[in-house]
Amino acid sequence: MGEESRRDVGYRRAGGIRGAIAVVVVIAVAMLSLLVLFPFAVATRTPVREITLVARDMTFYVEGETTPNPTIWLAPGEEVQFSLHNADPGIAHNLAIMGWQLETARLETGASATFRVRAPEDPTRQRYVCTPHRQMMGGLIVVAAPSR
Amino acid sequence: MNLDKTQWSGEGIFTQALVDACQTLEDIIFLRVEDAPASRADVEFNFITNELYVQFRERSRAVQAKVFGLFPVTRTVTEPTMTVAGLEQAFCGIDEIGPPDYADEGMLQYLRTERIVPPYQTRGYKLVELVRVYEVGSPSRRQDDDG
Repeated sequence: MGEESRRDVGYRRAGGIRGAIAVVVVIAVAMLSLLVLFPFAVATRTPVREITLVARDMTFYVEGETTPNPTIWLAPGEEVQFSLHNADPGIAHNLAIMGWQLETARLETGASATFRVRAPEDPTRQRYVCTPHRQMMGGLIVVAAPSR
Repeated sequence: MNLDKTQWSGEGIFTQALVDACQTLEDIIFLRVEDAPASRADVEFNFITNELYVQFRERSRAVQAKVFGLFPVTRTVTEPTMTVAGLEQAFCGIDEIGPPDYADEGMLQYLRTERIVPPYQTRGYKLVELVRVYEVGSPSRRQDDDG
């Protein structure tokens, strides 16, 4: 009996060591894979274009520009992050692209919201609006090849 | 009251009502009305935005003070007889004006919307008038001030 129990302990120790080695090997392989594949993953990732719209004076402006309710041009398949910042004192605004079923919540003054969209591959036009003020706060999103 | 309308096109019925109301208030000694650049029109709407800058009458009063905490002196302090908050209260008491849609310590904002249907037309257009009232010397909140 004593001999058998010593052998069991020996087997268990050997099994434990093998398990630990397996874990170390798996972790090492995973880290090596990450090291090898990460540069490829970064290199192949398409950049996301950020477009920030500011709502002010019952009008949309692209941040830093002065054209009211500007037309926004997107390339087919382009991934874009739209942000809306409400800088209109005392007036709630949102940003909606109805044709793409995208809509932020209604934002109080000073609030911001974001959504991401991938432009369709086919040329198209969509209207972006502030839902409660759609008659005067809105513009066009034009998806077209860059060589326009 | 001195009224400066040289930078105002005259558009805006509610703006005119505000100007008229200001002229009845003795505590306002100067008023400047300006077109704001966000004004624009399209087929479906006419957006008028104006800004009013008011200057309040000032009064002087004697204040007792102590120099170095020891020697009593009398100083003359000049202060306005009205504030933007006081102006808000005054407008609230005028039927044609009423309370602002938004107010903070430096600005009163009125937003008026009306559908205008010209004769022989069925649809008409939306008239939106945004008027902001500031004290002279306060920074404007309009878009072009952000550069």
